[in-house]
Amino acid sequence: MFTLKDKTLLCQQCHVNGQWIDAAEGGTVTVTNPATGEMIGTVPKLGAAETRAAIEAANVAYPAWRGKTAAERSALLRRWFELILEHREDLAILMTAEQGKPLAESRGEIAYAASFVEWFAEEGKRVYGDTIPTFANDKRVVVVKEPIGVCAAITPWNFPSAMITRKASPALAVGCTIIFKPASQTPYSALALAVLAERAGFPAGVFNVVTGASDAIGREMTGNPIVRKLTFTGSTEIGKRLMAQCAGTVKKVALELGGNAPFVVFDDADLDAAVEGAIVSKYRNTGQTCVCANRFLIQEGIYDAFAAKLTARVGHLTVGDGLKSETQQGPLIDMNAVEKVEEHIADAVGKGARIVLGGKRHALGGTFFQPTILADVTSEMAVAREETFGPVAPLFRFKTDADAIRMANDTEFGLAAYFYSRDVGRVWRVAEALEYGIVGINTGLISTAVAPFGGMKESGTGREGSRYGIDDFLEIKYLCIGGI
Amino acid sequence: MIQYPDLQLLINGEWFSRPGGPVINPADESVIGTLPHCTEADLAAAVAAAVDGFRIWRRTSPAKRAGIILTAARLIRERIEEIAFVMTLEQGKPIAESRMEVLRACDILEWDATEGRRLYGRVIPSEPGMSRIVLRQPIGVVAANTPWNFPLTSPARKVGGALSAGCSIILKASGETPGSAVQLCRAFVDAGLPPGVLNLVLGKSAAISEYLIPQPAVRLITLTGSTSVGKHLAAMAGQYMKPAIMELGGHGPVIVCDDVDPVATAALSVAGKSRNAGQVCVSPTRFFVHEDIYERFAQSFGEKAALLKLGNGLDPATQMGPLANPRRIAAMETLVADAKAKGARVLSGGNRVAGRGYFFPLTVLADVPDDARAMQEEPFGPLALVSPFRSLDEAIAKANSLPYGLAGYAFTNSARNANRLAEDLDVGTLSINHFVASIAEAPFGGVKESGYGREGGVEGLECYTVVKSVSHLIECK
Repeated sequence: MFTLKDKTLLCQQCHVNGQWIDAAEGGTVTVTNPATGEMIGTVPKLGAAETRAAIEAANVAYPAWRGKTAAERSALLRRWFELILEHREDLAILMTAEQGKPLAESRGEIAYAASFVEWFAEEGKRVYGDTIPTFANDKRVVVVKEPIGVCAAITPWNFPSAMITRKASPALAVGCTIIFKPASQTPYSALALAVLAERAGFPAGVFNVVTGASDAIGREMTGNPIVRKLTFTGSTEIGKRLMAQCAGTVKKVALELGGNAPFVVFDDADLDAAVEGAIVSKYRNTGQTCVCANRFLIQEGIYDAFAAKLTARVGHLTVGDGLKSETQQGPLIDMNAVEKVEEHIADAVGKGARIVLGGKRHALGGTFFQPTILADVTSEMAVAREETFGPVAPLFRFKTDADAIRMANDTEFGLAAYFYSRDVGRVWRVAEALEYGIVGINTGLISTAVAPFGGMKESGTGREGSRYGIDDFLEIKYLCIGGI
Repeated sequence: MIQYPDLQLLINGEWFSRPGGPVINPADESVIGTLPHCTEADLAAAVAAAVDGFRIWRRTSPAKRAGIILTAARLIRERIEEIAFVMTLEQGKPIAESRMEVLRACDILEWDATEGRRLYGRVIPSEPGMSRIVLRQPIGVVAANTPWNFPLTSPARKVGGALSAGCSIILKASGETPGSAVQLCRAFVDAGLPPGVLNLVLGKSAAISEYLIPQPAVRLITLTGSTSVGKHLAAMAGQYMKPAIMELGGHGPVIVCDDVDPVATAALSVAGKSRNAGQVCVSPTRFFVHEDIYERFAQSFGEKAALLKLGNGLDPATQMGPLANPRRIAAMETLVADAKAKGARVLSGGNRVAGRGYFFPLTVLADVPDDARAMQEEPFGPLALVSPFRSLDEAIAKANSLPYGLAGYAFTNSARNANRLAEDLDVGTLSINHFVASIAEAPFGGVKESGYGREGGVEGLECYTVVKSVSHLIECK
């Protein structure tokens, strides 16, 4: 087990309207450590009724919260930001315990999560309206921006803290109130953030967290007319379902869904840099991020050299319990994830791919999986079309730039893409041709609070982070002032 | 016991003492410190240090720059009592006003620091094969001149703007109020600002400007000061084709319409006018009051002004401190005598206060004719000039009749009047139904002879940048 300096950060109740509550009928959901299979604790199994109560509480809290100045809300966010950083180590340990990622990655995520709070604390003061040159001399045209209202958020288990703050901070900064449903696998990171939000002094009902029956909670969030906005990060399949459910009340939606990220390496690339970028982009979080490279497209002239260098580096990755300091790759989140990885490997091998490295469950047992590299992968294989969400690097071969662009775009997804090239002409041509919301050029790390994150095509709608990320939580109101 | 600081120059991260002249407490005329007079060699060293500082600072990430500036702001907040005391000692304003100024300076630094991470360039749509990008880059070494009326916020505006945009700066603070600037610089040094990024020089204003402005490394001149000094420095800057930010004098018009309570407006006017003893470029000075409420407004203004408690700013009961120096007293006397001779009525004050210190009471003059000198020259002191108007057109014409255009004020509950005033007053800032002319997140600056450039808001930082348009034909044939 693990110990926290501040034991109150492991909270096993939900946060609704400033109260810490259990399920009305006493049900619970068990939370386990994916590295050990041990139970960490439970969280309440809330359903539709409690979710409705949380939405109503958020609605009651909304007018007063919206009525505060941006500077007042900013001061509370700033305090929350400071508290998150003060408790960084505990929050990181908690995250690794429930999610599995190496502690160093968890620490990184806490700093990343905090950076959204800091950014939006300031961005909320900069929600500028406009004056527009008038169309009639006796009229004036003024545009103001207003908070959209009560928001609901459903977040995934792969970034248990950052996905909370990336949605909560802009919502709270502009005056919205919000109800979170964190993933059932990783509720404690969300609840710990709620503990700190309460300490920071957010009023009751402004920031709520409910856990429990995903389907019942999701249906209430998407069906309740009070909720004006649903923001979701997760799979494309569930995203489509939620989007359809929201249509009944014409709720605005922000969706950060799956990806099928191409990682393209051209002949002129700096191979060592490309290998380093490949490792952070592929094996971070055991391949379980929506921006993880899913397909490696390697130009034929350097295919073998890249495969050899990548294999040499990946072969040295240390797999283990994320709480151990030497660990570079933690376990997968659960057995379903392991089975999907195995299916993808079996499918590829059955169709002619070679296993260059790994390919099997790790000797540590449980949900640990070997870092894997597949060569001679082709577009007929499942890994070409579906997100593997695991530590498998499939290497595809291509001849020309046009081939690379065609292959890269040959998917319904459009979240992140990466490519390595030193030729400035190629950099611009390829960057412009890629149908992706985020393009990493000669880098495998693209995430930052100051830049917009989001996808094209079936990878979603809306953007998070940056000055664009606040727009999802605002409505535009045009004032036409007559009688001047 | 808080001490007035040892006054030193800051060059390349090091503090230097130099011989010089006395710094006087205007409340009792006592000598509180020695102003070091920098030498030409000091100035040369400051320029060299700022060049090196710029090289380091422009390559420091905006987030890191913001972190250092925010740390400095936090230190200043922690040192509020010490800095406010120093400010009142050297400047005279009531200690409560000094504390307010310290907090306002921090607001400014924090705004600018976070704005520095948001200096967005843009991508312009262009033909295939061409990329067009607009970059905003720091302009380079800044030479800044600040006045004695806001010993901390004025330097904070310039240092905050320059540093947040990625520039280095040579600050020449007022010789009458150098202590606050020394405290500001100390906070930046303690916050870990690399040497050379912020340099403080003190001494003879004219000689310093004449040395710094022609220096090829100095890329931007910024001054908060009088219009006459502004014209002189702007001409020098122009001679060397250097851009400048000029925050100069004003002659604040206040238009009081007939739909507001004259007594309540008079009470607000006393507070607005007495701030910093009227020694503010945005001070409300010409009160144009609708004839239907004119007499009640003027009487009430005079009565309330007479109740104002003058004294040493360190006394917490003091509502208005002394003027900065004996020249200001003489100026008030001249302007009052001239207005009286031309028919103005004295409703309060009018004469200097006997004894030590440069005290002059809040003076309300009614029926002041347009040709009185005070109606045309910036009094920069506690003079309120009240005159009636019949129509809004007349009030706006009078308000716009001077070459100044800094802050304007109006009191009305009519949407139509408010819109008319917003569109037609020739001012850089207009405050309707209140007397706050500037906050960190809004642009502050003047039109006409009140200057150019803006401080604060999104616009403020842009003055410290240059725009570079990069077009790139991707394929080199």
